[in-house]
Order: sequence, then structure tokens, then C-alpha cells
Amino acid sequence: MTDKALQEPAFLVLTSLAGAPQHGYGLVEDVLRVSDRQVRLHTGTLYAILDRLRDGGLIEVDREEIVESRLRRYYRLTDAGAERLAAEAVRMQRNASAAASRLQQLRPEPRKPGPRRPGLRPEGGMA
Amino acid sequence: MTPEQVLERRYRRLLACYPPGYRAAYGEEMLAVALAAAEPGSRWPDPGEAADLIVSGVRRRLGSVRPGPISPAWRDAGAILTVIGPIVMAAFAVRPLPAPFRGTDGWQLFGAASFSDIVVAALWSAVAVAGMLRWRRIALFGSCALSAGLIYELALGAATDPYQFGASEWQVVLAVLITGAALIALKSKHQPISWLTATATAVIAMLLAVLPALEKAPLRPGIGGTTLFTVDSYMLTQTRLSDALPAGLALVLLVVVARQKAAVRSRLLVVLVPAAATLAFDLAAYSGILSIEYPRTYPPLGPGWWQSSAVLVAVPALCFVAGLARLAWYERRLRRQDATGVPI
Repeated sequence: MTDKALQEPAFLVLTSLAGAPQHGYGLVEDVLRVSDRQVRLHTGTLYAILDRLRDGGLIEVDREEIVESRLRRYYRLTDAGAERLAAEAVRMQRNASAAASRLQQLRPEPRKPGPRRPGLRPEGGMA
Repeated sequence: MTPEQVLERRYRRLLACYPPGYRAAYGEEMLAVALAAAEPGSRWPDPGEAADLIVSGVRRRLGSVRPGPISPAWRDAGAILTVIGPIVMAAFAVRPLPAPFRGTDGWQLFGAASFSDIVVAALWSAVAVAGMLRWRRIALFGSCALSAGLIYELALGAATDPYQFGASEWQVVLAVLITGAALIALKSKHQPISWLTATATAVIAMLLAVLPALEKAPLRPGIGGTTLFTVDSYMLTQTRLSDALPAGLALVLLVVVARQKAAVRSRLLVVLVPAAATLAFDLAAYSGILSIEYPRTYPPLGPGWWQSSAVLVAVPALCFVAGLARLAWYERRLRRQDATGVPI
């Protein structure tokens, strides 16, 4: 896997696997939960992501089970995957901080206090 | 038929968009995910899910035609070949021509290597060292430059030297394969083989290359006090030792290859077999086992040159493609076995 930034679905899949090994449908559900129901992975997209992550050595097959005569293959994060996820999280955090800091600069500055009327004490009390 | 069965049948049809090998490995798993995600009691796949399966399946089919991402096994194989390939090239640069190429002029074989031969051998050795040190770009640049030099030398020499083409062609094939290997190893971060293995391979290769030259026939007094080479003993030495280089190197390479993991080993063989087959073909052709019209006196761009060259280019190309196809078939079979758990 190249060092370029992970796309959001791949990041969410790695995040999901950081919790525990998951099977395909478990990943779909967990990604939905982690993303606050913003990202719903379809089956084709999910397996394309899993292929890429596995080719890059970021995940691997944990175990297989047959449940109700259906194959369930569990995937887990590898050490390389955990490192990559951590690096990606730091990168995203840095970008988010930069964005927040720039946004703060965009906010209108508070109005400067106008000339004080005579008779007012500097502390603001009445004469 | 229950709604679940109808839905499953329709999803199976959609999964037909994927290549058979991929379907065999992941089809059941994907079907389970798609069915689990479907609304209970529904008979039709969700349109979004269906479109996604079609697009992903077609993309996967197209992707299987285009070169996909390079697997770690290919990278490791490339990294190993970037070391052992240049060692072989260095050995044959010191003593370029295997015995059968010279025929009755065979005794010329043992002439000392020229200065340029030694420089070329040193450069190939430097590529091997760069490969060991994981200086991937330098290894790629070096193998590129040396391959270009070999091709240039071949193009020039084939017109004038009758045996140049057969003697150099397999080296060009190996050099091009080394360049390809250096390219796919660019992102490899592993030390491909131990320094001990690399050094042992290099020492054996160089000994095999240099020994025949050291065993020059002694000068003996001839008729009238002149000194002559003893041709008989010379030819005997030539037969015994000059054949030892390809055979000995092949043995050393086989040992190095056999020590690798199965996935890396099979890829190394895919790359090495075309070069070995070309060498065997050239040896057979020059020793008269095969009757092939070599580009001996044709001008480089004449029709006869191209006909002969086409045969010689076809041998490594076909070997490489056949090796790739065999590897793909074998790994598909393994994946299928993994997915189903049933030995095939």
C-alpha cells in the first residue's frame, strides 16, 4: 500500500478492525456506527477496500466460520495496519487543528471600546 | 421458492460480474454479506447494492487485465533478482562466451578478459551491492544503463560477428528481466537475502568464471624449438571448465531460490526460467541440435535478421507469459482451496 492518505472508507474499516476482528457484515454495521451513520459500505466497495488493505499488508484473515451454512471470514488489523492507522489519525488531527486555527482567525475581532464618556470612572463605576 | 432463495439467486447473478477466480475465493463470503444487509423478506437486491456489485465486478475484471498493485511477494522476488541477476551478469562479463559458441575456434575462449569486460563486470557487481544495500533507484538506474549498453552492443555486433547474437541474446534477456525486477522492487523495504548468501554466490560465480582462464594450456616446445599451445589439452580444459560456469551458476541459483518462501520462489522461477530457456535454446542452436538460421551475415535491419530474431525473442517472451499464466492458475487454485477448505 502506498504512503498516500487513506480514503475515508478505508480509514473507517481500519478503525473498525482496531476494536476487534470483524467479518464482512460486522464491518458494514460497525462502519455505519463509527461514522455516525454517514458512511454505509456496499458489498462490492467493502471487498475492494479489503483487497487493497490486505495487499498492502494492513489487514489479514483472522479466522473463518460457517454460520447458518454461510461462510464468515474474520479480518484483523496487522501491526503495519495499526501503525498506519495511528499515523493517519495523527495526520488528520493535525489537519483538523490547522483548519480550526485558520477558522478562528477568520472570526470578526471584538469591537474596540469607544471613547469613554466623561464622568465615568476607569473601573466602570459611576462618579 | 422462498423470497430468500429468490434473492440469493439474483445476487449470485450479480456476482457473475466478477472474474471466476475472484468469485471462487470470495463469492460465498460476499453473498453472505449482501444477504445479511438486505431487507428481510425482500426478493430483489437493493438498487444501490446491485449497482455497486456490477461496477466493482466490472472494475475487477478490467483490473485483472491491467497490472494490479504489486504484491509483496513480487517485490521480494524483484529485490532478490536485483542481487543475484547482476552477479550472474558480472560472471559472464568476465568470461562472456560459453563453449559451444566458438566451435572449432574454441580455444579463443580463454583469452584474458578485456578492460571493458572487467569494467562491465564491476558495474554489474555495483548493481548487486546497491540491491543489497536497498539503494533501489541506483540499482534500477545501473541495470537500465547496462541493459541499454548490451542491446546497443548486440545491435552493432550481430551484423559483424556471426556468433554475437546467440552469445549475447540471453544476457540481454536476463538484463531486461533484472531491470524489470529492479523496477518492481523499488518500494521493497526488506533485505532480500543475507550478505553471507550474496557473498557466497558472488564468490562461486567469479571462481567459475575465472578458473578456465587460469587453466590455460601450458606452453610446450614444438617442432624446431618454437612454442605452441597444446591444442588437445586446451580443448579438454575448455570442455570441462567452460561448461562449469552455466551449470555451476544454475546450481547455485537453484539453491538460493529454493531457500525462499513458496510465493517468492515461484515468482523467481517465472523470471529466471525465460533467461535459462533462452540460453539453452541458444546453446542447442549453436551446437547444431536445432537448425535455426542465425543472423550471421545479414545486415541488422534486413529481413533475414528479423525472422531469426523473432524466433529468439519469442522464446523468452513465451516462457515468461507461460510462467505468469501457470503462477496465476496455481494461486487461483490455492485461493479456491482456502475458501472452500476442500483440497482440490
